[in-house]
Amino acid sequence: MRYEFQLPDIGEGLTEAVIASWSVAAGDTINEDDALCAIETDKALVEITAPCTGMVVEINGAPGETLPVGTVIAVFETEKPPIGAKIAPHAAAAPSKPPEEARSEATPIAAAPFAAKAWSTAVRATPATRKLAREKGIDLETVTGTGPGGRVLQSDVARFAAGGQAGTGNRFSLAPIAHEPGQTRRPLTGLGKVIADQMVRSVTMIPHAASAYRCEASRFVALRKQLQERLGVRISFTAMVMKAMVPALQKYPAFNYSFDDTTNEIVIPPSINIGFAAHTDDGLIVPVVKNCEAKSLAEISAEVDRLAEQARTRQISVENLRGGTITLSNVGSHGRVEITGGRLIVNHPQAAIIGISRIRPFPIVRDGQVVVGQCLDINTSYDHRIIDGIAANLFIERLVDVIEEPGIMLGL
Amino acid sequence: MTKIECDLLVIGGGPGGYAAAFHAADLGLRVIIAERRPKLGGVCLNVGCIPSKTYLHQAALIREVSGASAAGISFAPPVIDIDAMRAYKNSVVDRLTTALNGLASARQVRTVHGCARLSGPSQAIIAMDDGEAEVAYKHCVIAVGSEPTRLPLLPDDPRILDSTSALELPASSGTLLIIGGGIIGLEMATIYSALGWMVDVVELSDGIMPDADRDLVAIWEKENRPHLRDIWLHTSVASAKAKVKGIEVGFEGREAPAEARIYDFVLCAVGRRSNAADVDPDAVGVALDGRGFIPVDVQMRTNIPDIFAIGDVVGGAMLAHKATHQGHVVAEVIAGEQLADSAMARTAFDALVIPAVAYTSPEVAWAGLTEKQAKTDGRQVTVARFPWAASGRAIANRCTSGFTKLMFDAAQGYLVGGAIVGPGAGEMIGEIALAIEMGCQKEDIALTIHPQPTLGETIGLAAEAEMGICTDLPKKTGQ
Repeated sequence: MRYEFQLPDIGEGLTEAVIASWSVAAGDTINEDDALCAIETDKALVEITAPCTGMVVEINGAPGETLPVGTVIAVFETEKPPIGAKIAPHAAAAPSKPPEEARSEATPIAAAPFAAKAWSTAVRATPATRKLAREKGIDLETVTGTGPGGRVLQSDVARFAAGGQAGTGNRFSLAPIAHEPGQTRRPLTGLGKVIADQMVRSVTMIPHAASAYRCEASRFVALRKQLQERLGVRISFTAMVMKAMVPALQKYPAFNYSFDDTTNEIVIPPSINIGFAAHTDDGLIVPVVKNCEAKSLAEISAEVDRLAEQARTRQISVENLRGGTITLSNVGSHGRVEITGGRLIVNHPQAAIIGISRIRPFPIVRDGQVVVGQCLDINTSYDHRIIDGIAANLFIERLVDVIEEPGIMLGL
Repeated sequence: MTKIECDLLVIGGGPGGYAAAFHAADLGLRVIIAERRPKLGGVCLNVGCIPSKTYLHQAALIREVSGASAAGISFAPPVIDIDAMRAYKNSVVDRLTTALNGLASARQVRTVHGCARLSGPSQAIIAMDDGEAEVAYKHCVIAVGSEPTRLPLLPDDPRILDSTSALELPASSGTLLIIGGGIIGLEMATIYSALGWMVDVVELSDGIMPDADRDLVAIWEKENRPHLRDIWLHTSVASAKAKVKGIEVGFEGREAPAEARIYDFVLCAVGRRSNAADVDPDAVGVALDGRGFIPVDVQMRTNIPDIFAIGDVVGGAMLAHKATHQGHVVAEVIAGEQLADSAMARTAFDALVIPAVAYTSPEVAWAGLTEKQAKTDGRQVTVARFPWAASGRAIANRCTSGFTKLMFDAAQGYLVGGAIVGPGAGEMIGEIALAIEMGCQKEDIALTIHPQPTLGETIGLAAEAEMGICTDLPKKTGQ
């Protein structure tokens, strides 16, 4: 019998994903749990396996195409559909490509750009509202409903058609950039879209404040060298700073809080989970080292290296991207130019982000003399609703104490 | 050969086809209907819904009257003149089909009587009694419907009935076996048992009216057991022999009687099959699925861009009201494309629910999710049930076994399904369908004032029960 396999929700809150590649073609036979396709979602590349053994009748979704969760991405002819599976209804079958010679002269204006929505996932709107949206060529999924239980009203569709969207501060409307010859356009998809949404969310929701600091890190550098020699493993500066952040976060835990904007509650997590910004060809990904308070420096360092590599090759699991309580950005680790400051964007719903520069020689004043110090610049941005400038100073002071005199950690 | 040109050729003049044709004509297209019957209206008007309802109404009347003695009015047993019944049925059908022809000609929709087949790109041939007509169309809608499936093991004998011949009432009384416990079979059981026939029903699956929730069916069974001789579930017909004294039928399965039984007539109501093959879809490459239905997209378009299909031939629920709605959709899509009205061309079928009604005694009707479907889908719902035993009108009308139930999304409280069993259920289910399409919250229904005392009021009362504000039920036992 035919079984229609829908794009599954592989992570909480996922609503769409980009098809990255297919491991099969229509006509192939496949065993249950064999690789079916790869999808790109919420910063991760995830392999989807076949839900059943049988023949692939049809695949849907070209590489690069963004599809909503629940879209039928493959149709199988199988003896044994997965338990609980619904068998393909004939009324919803997708039409195959028409033979050229039978095509009529009438050119369809709308070449069936509509996908049937499953009843349970259909957007709630009255028949008249659905008709209005169709006529205006608006996908109801993209309209924010202001009716009871999120129901999309005719006024929501009209506002959307006029360029506004409810709920996102529609005090102004956005004018499109005019299309001009020579101009090219590329839609944001996949990771790029995720990052863009997250940045807008962070900047829109969080009242940012920022502070910048400089400290002397020669003992920190020396300790790293010593540890690498004694332990025989590579220890990254990122991991060193993470380890140094632990006692500071324990003393001033507000930096480890999150803010639940839906309930106006401060969320106090039970552990210190530090996300670190990892650069990939497609953009930034933030893997999370969980429970830093319970890990040794060597363990943290190994985990940072492993997660960074997984992020770079886009093999990282969604689990390793969730649950961060604060973010560390090593902005000094790329390029030749020296970064001396800059405003970081807090990773919503966290309360703070720490940025560190490259450690490099700089003139400093010690005992009234100008000497050459090994300097590390530290920037922080934080949610000014729950952290003020004094609290930031106290937190960074504790962090700087550890970096300038790492031996203190023995007593903390 | 006659040559005809048109904007739209509709093959089949049933409730889907004529709705598509008339709406397209109203929108300004030149429309031809190819219809093989002498009259428009399809199975529904000619040999289906409408004629069966004329009998079902009389059947309900007979049952109603026989129970009236409890209320102080006694009638003599009914005297049934089946020739007059049949004539009355025919007059109802004639009146409707004649009216339909009038509506067609007023719109200048031309009906060509004959069997149409697709013959080439944008071209079809209609075989009429007196020759053939070649139709060149811009768009075509296939609306040729379905016909009853016949079990191969049944003998070729006039005493084997299908839903069409059963409506001709072959005798005034006798014994009847109904094969198939779906809606059609049970409606026929209602008619024939009310006329005094001895009726048995045999059903292959483990329940009659397989799509309906079991709590509804349980009420139907309780009310109908006294009027039927036997209902065998999980049982099939193993043999059927035409004998002089009747059709001798052997059974097998869980509840099969050990002995073969002799019936005066056997009605085969095991389902309907698509008529799609009649239009020669292969000639132009219209794809069929494995069961002979035509796959379409949400605009009802087949794999050939200028050919659409609606109604029973696309599968799913085989109901006239579904076909009519789809007919309106295709008319707008096609007129939108031909008249370059892009807003109209975006019309699509997006109805959430297609109500289903068994016009039995009592009626059973449902719309949207059933409890069974919610369970299968893992959908979290809350169920509010209002028993008619708590309705003043139901007590007065002697129909206290009925009930009304509503199902709401557990998280957000909007209506996702509803069902009614009892007299007039089919008349009332429309409110539930409307509430689902409108996305009504339980409050929308409960806070709408329903007239009292009515049976329809039970819809409002069920929503009140969901809200916990129903004062016609004991506190907190509204579920």
